[in-house]
Amino acid sequence: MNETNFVLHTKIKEYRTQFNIKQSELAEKVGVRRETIVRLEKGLYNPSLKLAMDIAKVFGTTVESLFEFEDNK
Amino acid sequence: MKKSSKEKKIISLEKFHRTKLIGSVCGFITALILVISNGILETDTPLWLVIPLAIMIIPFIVCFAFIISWSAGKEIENHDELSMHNLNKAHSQIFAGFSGLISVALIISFFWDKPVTVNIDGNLFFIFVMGLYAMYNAFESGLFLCNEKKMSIESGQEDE
Repeated sequence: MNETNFVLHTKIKEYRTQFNIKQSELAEKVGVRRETIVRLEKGLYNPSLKLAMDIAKVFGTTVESLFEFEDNK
Repeated sequence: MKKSSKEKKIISLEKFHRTKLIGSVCGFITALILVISNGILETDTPLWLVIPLAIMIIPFIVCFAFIISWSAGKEIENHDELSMHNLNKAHSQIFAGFSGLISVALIISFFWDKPVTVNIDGNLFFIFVMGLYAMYNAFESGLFLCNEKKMSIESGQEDE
């Protein structure tokens, strides 16, 4: 699968610090567990489009500004 | 509408799967002991033989019953997309293991030239199915926890 050729970078942590929101609060707002937010911030999990859009909505930004895929080839 | 005075306690997915794993292992060991002792336990079995078997089985049955009663009144945390991903991964791993076992059995059966006689009565069949079900549940929860743990280790210290 070409999924492994991409590295996910997120700016969730930066936005969270800016908005002063805890991981648990963000998790509650988007309806996931805190562990999911932790792994998203570390770039260990590719979120679904819905989750990405929900997080972007919380911070009033776009998905593109929150997530970045880097080609690892 | 009248609100219920006693609110249901929500248990985390990790706790639920850990409990399910222990319960399933207990169920599997009980089934295993019952299968092994199937030929021993008859209506005319002497008491000295029944007592050690009962001593072996009873703790597992008590543990299993305790786990069922403990989790009965509680609500389980909903699966989110990451936990579903890990659960699906666990199912894939079980399927891969099962496929491997079938392949091995197929190869063995190809070279096996002796007759095979299996005597399975209703009780043994029930115990066998119960054991398989318990084993499946144990693997499902065990692998789920394993996948969750693996991700936790990769992500390092979880900050708030």
